[in-house]
Amino acid sequence: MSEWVLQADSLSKRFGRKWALRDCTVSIPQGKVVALVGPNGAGKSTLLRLAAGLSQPTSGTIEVLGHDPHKSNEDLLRRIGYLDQERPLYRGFRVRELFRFGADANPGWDMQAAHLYVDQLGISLNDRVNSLSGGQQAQVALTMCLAKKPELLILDEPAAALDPVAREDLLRLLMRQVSDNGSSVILSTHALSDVESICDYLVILSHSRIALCDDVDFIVESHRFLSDPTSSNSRLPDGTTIMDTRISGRGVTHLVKMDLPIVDDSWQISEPTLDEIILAYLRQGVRNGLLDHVETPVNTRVLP
Amino acid sequence: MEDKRPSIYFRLDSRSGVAPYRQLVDQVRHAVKLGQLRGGDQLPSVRDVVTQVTINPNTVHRAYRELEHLGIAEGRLGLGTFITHDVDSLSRESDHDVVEESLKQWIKLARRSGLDEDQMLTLLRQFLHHNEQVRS
Amino acid sequence: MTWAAWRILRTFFLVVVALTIVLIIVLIVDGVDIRSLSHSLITGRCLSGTYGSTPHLVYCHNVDTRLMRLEGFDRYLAGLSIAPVILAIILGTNLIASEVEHKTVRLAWTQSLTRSKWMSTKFTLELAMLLIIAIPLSFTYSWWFEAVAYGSRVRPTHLFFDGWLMVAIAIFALVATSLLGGVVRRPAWTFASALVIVLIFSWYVQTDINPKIVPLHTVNIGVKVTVRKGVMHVINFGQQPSNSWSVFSGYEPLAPGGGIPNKGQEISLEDDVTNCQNLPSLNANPNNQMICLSKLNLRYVAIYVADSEYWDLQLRDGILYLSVAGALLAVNFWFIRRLRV
Repeated sequence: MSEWVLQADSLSKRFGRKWALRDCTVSIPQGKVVALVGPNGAGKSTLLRLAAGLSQPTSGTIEVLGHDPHKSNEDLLRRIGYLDQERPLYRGFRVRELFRFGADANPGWDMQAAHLYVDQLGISLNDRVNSLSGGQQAQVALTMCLAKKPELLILDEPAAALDPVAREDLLRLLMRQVSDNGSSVILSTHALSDVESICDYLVILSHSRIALCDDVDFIVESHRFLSDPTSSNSRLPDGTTIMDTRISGRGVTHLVKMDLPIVDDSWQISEPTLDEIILAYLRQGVRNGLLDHVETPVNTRVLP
Repeated sequence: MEDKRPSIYFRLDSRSGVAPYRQLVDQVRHAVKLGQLRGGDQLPSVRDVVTQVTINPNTVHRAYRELEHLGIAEGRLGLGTFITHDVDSLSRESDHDVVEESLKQWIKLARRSGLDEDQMLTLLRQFLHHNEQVRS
Repeated sequence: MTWAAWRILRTFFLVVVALTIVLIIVLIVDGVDIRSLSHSLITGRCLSGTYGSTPHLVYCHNVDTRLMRLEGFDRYLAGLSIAPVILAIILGTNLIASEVEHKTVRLAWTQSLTRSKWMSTKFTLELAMLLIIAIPLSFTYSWWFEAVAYGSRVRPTHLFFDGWLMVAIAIFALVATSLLGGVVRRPAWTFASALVIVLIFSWYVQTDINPKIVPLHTVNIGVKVTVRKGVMHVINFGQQPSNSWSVFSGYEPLAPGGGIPNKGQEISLEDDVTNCQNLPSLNANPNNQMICLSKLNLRYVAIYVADSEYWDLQLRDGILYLSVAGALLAVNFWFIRRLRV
């Protein structure tokens, strides 16, 4: 068994003349709940579809649980649960019929769990998919993934467009699965609060490239705000890379990534929240997009 | 469904900026201090916590490990995580009293010199982080 | 998986079964009606032209009117013989295009089964549905067409959609549409383009391939005029049988082999034919035209596919459609493995 649930090596995907994903090299360890964050069109769905074997890379390689997902290998398919962004379901089916399909198509299907999940969510097995609300459809679609009992869940915006209660229920259901089965999860999301509360690994995609990929705790530990209220051109401590800069009046505040502990009394140091770090990276992605030719990896770049 | 009421209800504030595992640890410590949790009380299982609040089970594990490390809780194989029996003696109430008293003095001093609450908190945080850096 | 594939099409299929039963009943009632009417037309000696008494005249007139009325209706019924092909195209559209459009293919292809297995399950089921509809319809239609055409199986101008060819074309349409669906990805466009392609292909088979895969029959057609005792007798000779499919009729060089002249030849022959038709000596002897033509080695012929070739045509066309379908199916299996959804 591979210790990585997903490994990509200079993975690229092009649609016509547009690159949806470019030169992505990333390794995601087992047992994590991974948040895939990035602006719309950054390539999140493309990456997840590649991981689910629904499309194949233009160049580079991707391995999921140690296998090439596009080879349409039944054994691998059994170990993956994929939830598409559009949550496709056979609309004319009743929930019971969808589950029958799931049971027929998956040897590891847990019918009891499937019944329990929808029961908790107040959905009847006799309900038609058509007649369910958007949130309930999302929950049924997620249940289809969970009842497969996969090792890896690949979820494309599982909680998007849900009301707060439905969203909470859905994420809790997901976390229960993680705690019961030890499944790994890769989910894309726009809600930073999800990242904070349920994810322990973070991948930021920006303009078709990986901008950051690491353990959430490590990310928080390795970033700091450095501010100097009186001068805007003080020398930075060694081993730091500026990710974001805000100039106010005379002073300046940098968000820096640090490779060494900072021992420099001339700066006021404070710890950023995860949200602040993510937003800084996303903003930087926007700036890079405007420059639009950057070839150097983001995490070693120093902005002027 | 289990009928047993959990010994503690956790809550998470996703806007506080405090890491979720830290919030769990703090809530247990607080509950022990207030006497809501006593020695021998069982902490809710990871599965129960995940049912109570939307949180990554790994985070709960991590919080419980941290509590064990602090000597507040102990894991019993196959049974769960329990508050340690000697937790009452462990709580250093006397130390706390001294610290609280001196903090009160400091706040009085700060008020007199014109600092408002936010400024005090900023100052405190800054020193806390500074110390942390020095430690590491 | 078979169950789910069935469930997707269940309602549609049951409606189609009901409609098919109605169509079959209508065909049988109509066919029996036509049979009995044409029988009375023949046995009542209405066709001989000597009507005798007035009641007999009225009787024949009635039979004739009822047949005429049925003929209008029969045109629609004959049109409906395309139903199995339409059904095949709808099923073929459902196979891939509809699922791609509704993204349900993303759900199906991430369950624990390979795309090939998914495809073969769905295809087998749809093929079974198609056969359940098309086989009874093909039997009924073959019988009905014979009734409408007063007993002939091969007709002068119609496309052959009857016999087991109806089933073979439908299977071809199912496979072609399903492959097209993967390329086009939109159900409406898949349906439209498949319909056009299937019709063009079967037209091509009919007009360009059929005359090449069965022996053709040729008959000389002409007129001989004799004048005896000042009375002109016109004798027609040669005639294409009414239960045959006409491939060509016109002038043809009497060269060895004969065969159907191509367009260039036809044009070059035209001048000769016109010259012979405008001979000044024609007034004196009408037979001079024939003599003129035969001097130029030209004759007027009808080339046709005879009724006796019916089963050969059915067999060869059927094999043709099914082998194209088989090849397309193989391409389809290869294609879905690389389909991006």
